[in-house]
Formats: sequence, structure tokens, C-alpha cells
Amino acid sequence: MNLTAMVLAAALVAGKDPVLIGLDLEFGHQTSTSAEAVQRGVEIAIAEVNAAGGVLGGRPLEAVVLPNRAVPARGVENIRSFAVRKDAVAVVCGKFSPVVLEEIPVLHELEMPLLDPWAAADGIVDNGRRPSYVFRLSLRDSWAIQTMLEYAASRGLERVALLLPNTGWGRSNAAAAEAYLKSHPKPSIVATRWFNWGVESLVEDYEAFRAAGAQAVVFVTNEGPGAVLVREVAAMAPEKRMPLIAHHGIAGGDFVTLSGPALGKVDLSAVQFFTFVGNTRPKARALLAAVEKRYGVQDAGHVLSAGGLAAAYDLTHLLALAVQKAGTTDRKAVRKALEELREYDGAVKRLPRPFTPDRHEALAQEDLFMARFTAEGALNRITP
Amino acid sequence: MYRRVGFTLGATTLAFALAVDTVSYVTARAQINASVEQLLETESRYEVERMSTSLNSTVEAVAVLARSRLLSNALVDSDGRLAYVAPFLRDFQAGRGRKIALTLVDYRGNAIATTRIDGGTPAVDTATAARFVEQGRPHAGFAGPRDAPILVIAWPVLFPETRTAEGLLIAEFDARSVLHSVPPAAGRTNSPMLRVSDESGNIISSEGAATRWVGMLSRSERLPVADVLDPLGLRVEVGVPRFEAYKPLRYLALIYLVGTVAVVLAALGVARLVAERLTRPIRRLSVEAAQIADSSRLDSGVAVEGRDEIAQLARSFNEMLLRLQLTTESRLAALREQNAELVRAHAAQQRLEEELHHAQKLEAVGRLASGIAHEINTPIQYIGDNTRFLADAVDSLSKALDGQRQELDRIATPDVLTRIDRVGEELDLPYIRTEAPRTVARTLEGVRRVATIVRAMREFSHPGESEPVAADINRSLEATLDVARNEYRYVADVVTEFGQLPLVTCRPGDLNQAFLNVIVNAAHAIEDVVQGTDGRGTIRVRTSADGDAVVVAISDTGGGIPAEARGKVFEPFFTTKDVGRGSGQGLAITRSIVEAHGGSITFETAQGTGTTFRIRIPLVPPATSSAPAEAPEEP
Repeated sequence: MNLTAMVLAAALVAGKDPVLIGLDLEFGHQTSTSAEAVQRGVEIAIAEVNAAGGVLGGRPLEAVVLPNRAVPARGVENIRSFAVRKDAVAVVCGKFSPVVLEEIPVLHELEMPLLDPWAAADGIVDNGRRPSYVFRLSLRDSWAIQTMLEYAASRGLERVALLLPNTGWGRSNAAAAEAYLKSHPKPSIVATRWFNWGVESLVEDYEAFRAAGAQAVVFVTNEGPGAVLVREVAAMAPEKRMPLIAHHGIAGGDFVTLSGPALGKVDLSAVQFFTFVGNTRPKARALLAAVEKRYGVQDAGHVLSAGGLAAAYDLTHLLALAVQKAGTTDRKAVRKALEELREYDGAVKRLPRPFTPDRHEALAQEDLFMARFTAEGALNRITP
Repeated sequence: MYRRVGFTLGATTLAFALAVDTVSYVTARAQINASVEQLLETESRYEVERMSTSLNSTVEAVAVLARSRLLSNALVDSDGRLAYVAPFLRDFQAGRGRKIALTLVDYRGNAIATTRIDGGTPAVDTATAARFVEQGRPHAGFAGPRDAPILVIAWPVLFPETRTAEGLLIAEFDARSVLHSVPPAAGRTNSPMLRVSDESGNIISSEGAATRWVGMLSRSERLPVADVLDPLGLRVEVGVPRFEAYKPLRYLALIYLVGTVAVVLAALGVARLVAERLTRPIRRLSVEAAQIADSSRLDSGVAVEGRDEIAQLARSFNEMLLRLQLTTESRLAALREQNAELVRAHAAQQRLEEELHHAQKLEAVGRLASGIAHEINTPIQYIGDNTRFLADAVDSLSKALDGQRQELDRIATPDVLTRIDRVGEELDLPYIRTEAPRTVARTLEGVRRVATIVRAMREFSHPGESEPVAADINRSLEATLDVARNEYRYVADVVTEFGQLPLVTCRPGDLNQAFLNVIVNAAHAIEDVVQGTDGRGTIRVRTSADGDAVVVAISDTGGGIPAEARGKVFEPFFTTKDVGRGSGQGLAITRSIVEAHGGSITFETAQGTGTTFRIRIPLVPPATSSAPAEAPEEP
């Protein structure tokens, strides 16, 4: 589409009733950057869709921000308040699995499609409901655990410890680990510790891991507790420092800044499903260019929470296609259309059939990889 | 009387006893009050500290619980929290060992977990809880029935990641168990009664034996709470039953009552005996005094026996009688003198009134005389003219008769001449020719005299004269002397020594009055001396110019002014003359007139030699002389 056509299309969609996408994100959370990343992905996609003439005969897509501060109760309230708005077709969630898990019942009660670009708990998609209104384009805990444990095993770290949040997300990972270990003898889990929301020190847990003979720590945290662990391990003697294998969640904030110089003193790797660094996919390059242009980001290494941004971008395009396919803003029709979409070449990957009635995960185990932070904060892929 | 004395003594004793009792009672009461106040202050401080410790430790426990990471975690862990939040809260509940209910609510106020067995709703409703979360600060208050008040502490549960309150821990305590959770110190077995009330006056709790808080001596103090909370408005009140506190006072009052009655009865008995003994001589004295009073004999006295106070009183009474007698006599003499003085004053007043009446009559007569003089003037003029015509006519007739005789002597016969002489003799013609000119001459003299008097009276009175005019003082004096002639002509001769005087700007009528008064006085003074003798005195009137004034000196050869009267001669109504002869106003009027002209009047007198009055009159009176200088200049 050339520039003239885009301008013409944008002019045409202006003034018509918008089709609304709710952004039920953790705005208000002090260290999180994932909410902003998801918002950016959605905004870029909306801009592209609207520039191309919008949906349903020229109606624009429009994002409605619904801050939830990572509080499940607020998320539920957001869903309820958004659902009553005219032409509200779907909600995009953030990274906090507990929020999404609590929203599952109300989403289905209100027949509101949920597009998940980050929250990883297995139970979000495996919610036991059919039809399910949840569609994820991200990793899931069972895949992440498997990737992390396989990575540990690949490094010869046969005795690992699990550090988990005392939430549904943590329990999701615990179950995933347990399931993985049933079919994989190594590595073994020598200790599992749970921490509470807002924890301020994990030294005690770490020492317990060492006492249990752990060789590495697989930890499931977001950026805040993750940075606490990094700073505390870095403060220990080098011989006490174990490799730290992190869940995707630590990329939900400015982890490099939160960890500070300590990051350079620890052996930290994290499971991811997307990075702009070294990404040669044309769609990914185009998205990076849009991010750099629209938000003044310096380069690929400085895009925070890049996975969430790219996934939100792709999910928004998929939603636009589904609305278009459904020919209506009726959410049941949109949900159904999402299951019927074909061939989408996104920023994250090419999806021949993004979702089916039986599969609401757009990605797969093989899409995950391990990465390390550079000193500048970029995530460099370290596994194929 | 002795009854009165007895009553007085009894009443005095009773009053004294009551005063002593009252002072003792009030002092004892004040001491008890002070002791109770001190006790209550100490106890109040202790109880406030005890309760504050209890309350604030409870508040702090709730705060610590609310800060637990488990509770904030529970706010995000909806599917797992059921497994640990309620047990966690129950552990806390058990640890506190008292009635307590804990409820964790989310930001909308919806309960997440509770230790309530019955599943009832917390004391903070959903909307209020949501508002408390929004405010993000703790609250405390009271709820529940009055007989079982509940202390409610609502503490926000904070999210470190958002730095906002996302939930609320609602802790409900049995208020009484919280306030009294810290036990009294060992050995405090006799503590005062205690109660706690909220800001509305509702009783939250009470301790001690009192079932009703009445008749208490109490002290109330505010119960402080942790600064993070709004004031609860609690007041701690410690009290001691007034009945108990004042028990010693009641014993004291009973003792005082019995003692007072006994003292008063004894005092009454003693008072009766003493009064009887004391009042006996007084009654005797009273009887004797009454007898003296009845007899009005101040020169008598009462009997004096012994040397005691009663004897002293009798002596004093006798002395008083003596002084009274002397005083009475002295007062009577003074009264008589005053009475005589009043009689004299009355006589003087009568004389003054008579003289005033006389003066008024004289003034009326003067005015009448002035009018008569004016009326007489014209007839006198033509009487004089006609009389002078008659004199001329008589003279002409005499000359005609002489001429006719000479002609008859020449032409008539002797017989004719004889008949003519006979007719002339029959008609007494020779006598007529001799007496007629004399008669006419005397008539003319009389007429001239009358005219002089009339002119003098007119000049003297100057009727209608209101503004000063230029006058000849010598002429004024002449007119005045004419007017006054009747006063002096029988007793004195007048000698005038008039100098050359310039005209004087004055009111001549007023000055004439002034001169007349002095001349009449001079005549009277001389009359007093020459009366009853053949002698005559002299009135000497001298005038002279003296610079810008003229001086008139009028001297008499009277007896002079007595020394004691010299200072009063110019006072109004002062006179030494008999009634009807002088009003006492003459010289006062004279001085007034002279001073009105800017002049002065002085006198020199010598006893037995006479008096000279010297009147100095400026040529121009001050008001007149200064007028031109003060007159505004013509433009």
C-alpha cells in the first residue's frame, strides 16, 4: 500500500465508530515496563490497521487503557467495566498470570476474548472452558520450565533448585517442573522455595538451596524479585554464586537497571521467545523500525520487554483480521473467527494457522530459546 | 435584759462553735479533696499509660500483621490464598489470646479471607473499606452494641511494587479486653474505679466495683493513640465514690455536732448566771438614769459604788450629765445671742426696706418734680414777662400821675385840686404809688427765683440723656447746689471756688446726681453738728483742671466719718443716718457713676473737723476716648 492510499484510508476511517480493544495492563506497577511495551505493540498495529482502512468497512481500531496495578481484583473490575462499552471486541492482558487467572471466569461470563501476549501460566489457556475465550501468543510455563531445565542439563547442572512465587504462576511452574521430571531424570530438583509478593530478600532461600546441594537456581520471578536475587548473589563470595536460570518474567521490567553492576557478577540466563537483537525477519525489522520511529528508541538492544511488544503487535493484527473475518463486533463471532484465521506472517513468527478450536497457543515449545543480557540491556540469544 | 445578755452570750458561743466547726470541716474537706485529687491524678496517669500501652500494642500488632508479605501476596494469589491466608490469620488470632476477628478485603472492600466462624460481615462495610483502601491510611473506631463494644482497626495492605494500598486488614477486638489487656501492677489491690468512654460519651468499658457511676469524685483524661490513627476520642476516667472518700468527714461532722450542742447548752447556763450578776448594777443604773430623765434634773447624778466597769459607767454617766448641763447652758446663751442678732437683723432689714421704700418715693417725687418744673417753666416765663410789664406800667402810671398833677396845679382851681386830692386819699393812692413798684419788684424777684429753681431742676435732671455730651461741670455744680439748697440753707453756707474748666464729655444728669449725693451728705453732716445751736457750717465746692481731668472737691465742716465706718461708706445700704434720712445708697451710687465715667472718688476726713470728697473725672471717658482709635478706617 503506497503512502497516498494509506493517508486516504486513514482519512476514511476517521470519524466512524471505533472498534475497541481494552488494554488491561499493570500500569502503576513501579518497576514494570511490560505494560508500556504491550501498549506500544498494540498502538503500532492499530496504526497500521487503521492506515489500511480499519475494519468492518472503514471503522478504526481504538485502544482503551485499563490500568490494573497487577492487582487481580482490579483486572476483574476492568473487564467488567470494559465489556459494557459499545463495540468492545477483546482485551489484551499483561504479564501477571495471577491477574489473568482471576479474570478467566469473568471473561467467559462476559464472552470477552482475551489476547495474551505475556502471562505464562499454563492454566490461563488450559482453563478447561470450551469454547475458550483466551488466545495466547507467548510462551507458557511448561515450555519455559522445560527449556530452562534442558538448558541446565545441557550445562551439566544436574542438581537444581526451584524458586517460585507463592501465586498461581508459581504453582503453574511447579506443576510443569513436576511433569517434566516425570519423563526426564535430569536435572533433579533438590529444593523448592516459595516467596511472597513484595519479598525484600531471598538470601535465606538461596542459602537453603546451597545447603541442599543445588548447582543452579531456576527461578520464576518478574524483574523485581529477580533483581533482588541477582544483587544478593552478587554480594556473596564468587564460590557461592550459582548459575541463575530465569523465567521470561524478568524481562518485564528494566532488569539491567534494577540489578545494576551486580548483573555482571552473576551467571544469568533467561528463557525468551523473541528478541529484536539479531532478528532478521522482515516483519520484526519493520516493527523495530516502527518502534524506533514512533517512540524514539535507539536500537534493538534498547527495546524493553520486546517479546511482549512483538506479541501484542501480532495479536492486534490477528484481532483485526478476526473482526474483519467475523464482519461484526459481536465477541462470540470474533472469538470464533480467531480460531479460523489462516496464514499470518507476524513479527514473532509466521503462523499458518494461528489458533484452532483445540489450540489457543499461537507458539510452540520450539519457539523458545535461552538468552543473556548484555551490559546495555539487550537480550542476546545463546541457544538455537 | 439579762435574758438578752444571756441570749447574746449563748448565740455568740454557738456562732463561735459553729465557726470553729465550719472552718475545721472545710479544712478537712479540702485536705480530703486534695488527697483524692492527688490519688486520682496518679491513678489516672497510671491507667492512661496502662491502657495506652494495651491499645497501642494492639494497634502495632495489627500494623505488623498488615505489613506481612503473605497478606499482600494473598491479594494477587486468588487461587492459592485460601490455603494459607485464613490459617495465617487464625494463628495470629490464637496468639493474641482474646476475642478477635480478622478479615482481609481487596481494594473494593470485598472479603478475601476471614477468621469469622459464622461468616458474618465485618464491622466495616464494603464501601467504607474501599474508601479506606483508597485513602491508604489506617483507621480505628468502635462498633457493636453498647454492652459489647468492638474496637475496629482497619489497616491498609500495601503493594511494594505499586506503592499503593490494594487491600485492607480489618481487625475487630472486644474493646474491653483490649483496653484491659495489660493487668494492673502487682499489689494494686485498692485501685479506684475506672471507666472508658468514647467521644459521644458512650461507656466502652468499666472496671471496679461501681455498677453506677454516680456520686463519684473523678478525673478524666484523654487516651492517646498511635499517631498514625485519627484520635479515637477516648477518655479514661478514674473515680472514687464520694461516699467512701468523705467517710472520715461524716465522723468528724458527728463529733462536731455533739460537741457544739454540749458547748452551747453549757454556755447558755453559764450565760444566764453571769448575765444575772452582770446586769444587776446596770439595771440599777438604768433605773436611776430613768429617774433623772423623768425629773430633767441635770445637776443630779447616780450613785457610784465600787471600782468596776459599772462604777466607771456610773462615773462616766455623771460626768456626761455635768457636761450635758454645761453644754446646755452654753447652747442656751448662744441661742439667746443668736436670737438677739436675729432681732437686730430683722430690724435692719425692716429699716432697709423702709429706706428702700423712701428712696423709691423720693425717686417718684423727683420725677414728679422734674415734670412739674417742666410744666411750670412756661407759665413762669409769661408771669415774669407780665410782671415786668406791670412794673413798667406802674412806673409809667406814676410818671403820668405826676405829669397830670403838675398840669392840674397849673390850670386847676384849688377846689378842684382839693377834690382830686380827696379822691386820691380815698383811694389810698399815695400808698399805692409807694407800694405798687415794691410789690411788683418783689413779685419779679419771686418769679425769678421760681425760674431759677425750675431751670436748675431741669438742668439737674437732664431728662432723655443717653449718650455722653460735652458739659460744663461748674454749671452742673451750680444747678445741683440750687437743687440741694433746701438741704443746706438752714445749716450751712455754700462757698464755691470754681476754676477754669474745659468741657467734659459726660452724662451731666448722672454727674449731677453724684454731686447732689455728696452735697446732701455734707449738709447732713453739718446739720448733725450745728443742730440745736445757732451756728452754721460751710460747704466748700472747689473745681480745678488737672491734666486730662477735672477735680471736684466738696468739703464740709461736719463731724467727720467715724473710723469704724470709713471702710464701708461706699458699700450699698451702709448708713449711719436715721431711718428716712438716708437710704445708704447715696455714696455707693456716686462711686458707681464716677467709675462709669472712668473717674475716681476718694475722701479725707478728720474727726470733729469735717470731710472732703475728691471726685476726679477725665475729660473724655475711656470708652469715648478710645473709640476713635479703635474705629475701623474708612476705605
